[in-house]
Amino acid sequence: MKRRDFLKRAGIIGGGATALNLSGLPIKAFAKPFLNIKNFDGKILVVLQLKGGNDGLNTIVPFEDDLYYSNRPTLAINKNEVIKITSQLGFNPNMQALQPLFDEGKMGIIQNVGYDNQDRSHFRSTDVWLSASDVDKYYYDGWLGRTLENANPNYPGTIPNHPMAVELGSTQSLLLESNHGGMGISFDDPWSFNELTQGSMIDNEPVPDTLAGNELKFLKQVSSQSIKYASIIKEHADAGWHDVEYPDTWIGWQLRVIANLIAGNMKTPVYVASHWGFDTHAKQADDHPQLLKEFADSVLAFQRDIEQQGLADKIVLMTVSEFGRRVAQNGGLGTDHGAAAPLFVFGNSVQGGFYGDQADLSKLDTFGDLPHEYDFREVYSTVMRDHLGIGKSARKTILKRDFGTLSFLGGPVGVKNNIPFTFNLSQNYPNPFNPTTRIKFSLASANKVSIIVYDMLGRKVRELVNGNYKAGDYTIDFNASKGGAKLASGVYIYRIKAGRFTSSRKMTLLK
Amino acid sequence: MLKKLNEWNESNVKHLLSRAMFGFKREDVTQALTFSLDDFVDNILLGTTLKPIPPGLWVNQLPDWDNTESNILMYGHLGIWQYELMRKQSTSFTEKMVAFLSNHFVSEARKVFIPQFQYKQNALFREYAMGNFKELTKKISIDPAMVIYLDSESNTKNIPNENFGRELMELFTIGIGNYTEQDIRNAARALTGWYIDDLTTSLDSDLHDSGSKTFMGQSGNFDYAKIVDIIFEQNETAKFICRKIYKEFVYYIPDEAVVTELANIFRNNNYELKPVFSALFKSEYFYNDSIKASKIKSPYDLIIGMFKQFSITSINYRYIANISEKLQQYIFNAPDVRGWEGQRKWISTSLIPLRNSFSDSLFTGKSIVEEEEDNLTGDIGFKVNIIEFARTFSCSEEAEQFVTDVIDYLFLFPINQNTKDRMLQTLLDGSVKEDWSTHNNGAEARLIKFFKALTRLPEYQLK
Repeated sequence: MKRRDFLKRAGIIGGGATALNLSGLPIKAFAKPFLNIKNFDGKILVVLQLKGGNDGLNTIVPFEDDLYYSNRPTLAINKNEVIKITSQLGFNPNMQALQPLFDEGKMGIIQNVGYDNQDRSHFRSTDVWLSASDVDKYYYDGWLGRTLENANPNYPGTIPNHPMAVELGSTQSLLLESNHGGMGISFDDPWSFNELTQGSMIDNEPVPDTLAGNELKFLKQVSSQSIKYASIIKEHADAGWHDVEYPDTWIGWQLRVIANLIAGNMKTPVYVASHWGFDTHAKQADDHPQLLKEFADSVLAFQRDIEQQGLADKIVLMTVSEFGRRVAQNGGLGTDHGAAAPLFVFGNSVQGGFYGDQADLSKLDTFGDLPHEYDFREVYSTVMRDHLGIGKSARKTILKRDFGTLSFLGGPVGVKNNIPFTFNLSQNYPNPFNPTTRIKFSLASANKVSIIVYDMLGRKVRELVNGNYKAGDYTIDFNASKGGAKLASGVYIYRIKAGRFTSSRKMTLLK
Repeated sequence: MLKKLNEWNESNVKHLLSRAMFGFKREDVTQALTFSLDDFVDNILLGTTLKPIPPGLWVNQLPDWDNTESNILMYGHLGIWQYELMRKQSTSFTEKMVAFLSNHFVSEARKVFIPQFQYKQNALFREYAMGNFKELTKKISIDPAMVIYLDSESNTKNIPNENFGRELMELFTIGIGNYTEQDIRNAARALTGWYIDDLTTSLDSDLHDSGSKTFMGQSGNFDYAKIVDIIFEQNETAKFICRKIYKEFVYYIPDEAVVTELANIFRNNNYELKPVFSALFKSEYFYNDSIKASKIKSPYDLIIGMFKQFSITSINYRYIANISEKLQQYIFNAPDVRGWEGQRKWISTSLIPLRNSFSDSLFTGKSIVEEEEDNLTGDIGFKVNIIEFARTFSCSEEAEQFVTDVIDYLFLFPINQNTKDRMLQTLLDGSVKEDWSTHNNGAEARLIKFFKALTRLPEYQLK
């Protein structure tokens, strides 16, 4: 239908001359005028869902771990091919594109993320992640839906001038559901989306209070959202531009459209993208490398694009996936549903590097899966606090209880779980050891910290830590065959000094 | 007990047909009313139907794993064949039930890849559409398409693959919370050793784990059939399946009291499907006003329903396959093993405008949805003969009555007077109703505009 016809029809509804706003829609049709969107001080969160359960171990590969190779005789990534980023861990060779981001300190790798009593159903576990629920609690709204609801308390009485959230794709996920229905707009393509909505009109006829009436109300609400926002979205997509080449893939397209809209000055604070196909039960080696390549190449293009346009300081991209995969490969050259896995965050404001311990493949749960170290909601809570600026009580409302926070966005490590109320030095593990062992310590406040290893004669043989540390939990790896004179088998003492706190423990080197 | 309906009238007939079929024609309503409720439900709707002629001789040829092109071509034939069965169905529940079962025991074509197997599975669903669900579950456990889809070929004695074992319980029979991870492992063991053998499946006893298994509290050397038997000994199984039936055929939020009643019928009839549907479709509950028009049409409902409502018989199925996929119901390709969830999941800010664009295209013959490169005009190659269609209404020359009758025919949701007036204005397009005639110059353009506006009403998406 032509615009002219549309205006004429709009006139019919209004029963005569109806004032028209810029989008060509009768002003009367809007319940209340648009209000400027509340957008977390301009900060933007992009959530990228890796659907199907990404295999963490073949993504961040523990190339020195014999257990990794023995559990995956044909699926393990050859040590020579791994892109090594620490002495123990490296990227899957198809994630070359992420190496510069890691080196520049713009990629955080949070290891062993999961939740208590891992559910191994895709659907249930996806719901747990998206709704941020405990495994035994069922919510019909998503954590970002609740976040947006909390930030826009007058919605739907007043409608923000820009969409509160945009999801690339044709459907809308639970992530953006709220008590007021979906908080986001979904589309594949800003331009064809706008074309499609031409000729429809907003219908404010009251609906009867019946089951069918509820469904009609829902249909009308979604329909009017699409009409209201389609032209705004196109306008901002037209205004944006990019100089970076994106991969010609669906995930590349999605991130390109998101960057384009942000560059076009759309004020939407939340974007959702998805990358499909991670349920690699069979012939994983055929598919998984390609999926990782598409992911890595697209994320690099996105980051470079927003950097060039000076937008990178305000954007954080975070991945989520319903679970990792079983450590041991299955009979179909694939892996079954597992538990904890690493999660990734990207952005200029991210403090790059590893968070949490390297997965210990000798300590699996009864199913042969990796236990979690961080609850996924601690990651959400960190993003909410340090990126979106959401206060403690609002975080508690949205996530339904208090969660700890991590330091990957530069903020302090928060209370709970990983968060020490007291100073502590833990027993090393393994013990006895040869030649490496791991030592953990906790700081209740920021301090200058030293950890020194002494032999039984009281001679200092190694200095493991010497520097200023924020409050939090820390882990160091001690390799007895490196860093100084050769150490003989025997008992050693390690001692921490952090401000006024001191503590020591014994450990045994057994060659 | 579900109380029986005593008023078999047009409104109730339309409700039943809209739920038990992919839309309906006027003749279907007339026909149903010539029978009593009992007779219609038990003997016509749920009665036996003839097995359709297969889509081609290829269904019996041995699979060719290397010839992608020919497999895709045969999949195309299979898809058209299935659409045509839905479109041409008489007042029969069979095709709706085939679709329900396909969406229950999901096997995505993109992974199955061999059209012969997809056909074979489809034929199995048709055979069991009103049959025994427990038997069907056994058959599906070793059905070739399913064996491929849920990786059962790689489920072997030494290295079990849990994929089918998990979904058998989580999605196909009893539902989450009623089994343990240990049960999954043991079910997987019982199902080890099946492989694709030409057009069927066989058991390789070397790869089968014949050791003792403990499953849902019982121990023994169980095979897949015994595993299914044990699952169907659990009370929760009938409830799980009837809950899904309720959500598909009644309303998407289950009424547990009714689910329990249906489950009792299901269990007492040794998991025969027909008695459950017979009871449901004859119950007063099913025809309650609050249930009517509360379901959001699936893309199949919308597409096939429009073909029937508007007597469209010559169809460009390339366009239909394309639009179906864009509307998120790509034939033989559910998004994942859970299948299409339906209801509000069919709707999003991009899918409503797309539905509107689809309904428009059937009146204009043109589509703005991206098509293959060889079709730049957007011409879809068929459309409703709108003048002819309008004249099938006896009052086609009296504008006001015509609008009322058309709305009665097209909508299950009650349309209010304001909307009717607005639609009348759209039809008249500025002229007065006394001047309306389908013989006027410009009548066709007005009718197109009128039907586009009607089918764009959000109410049209409800059934």
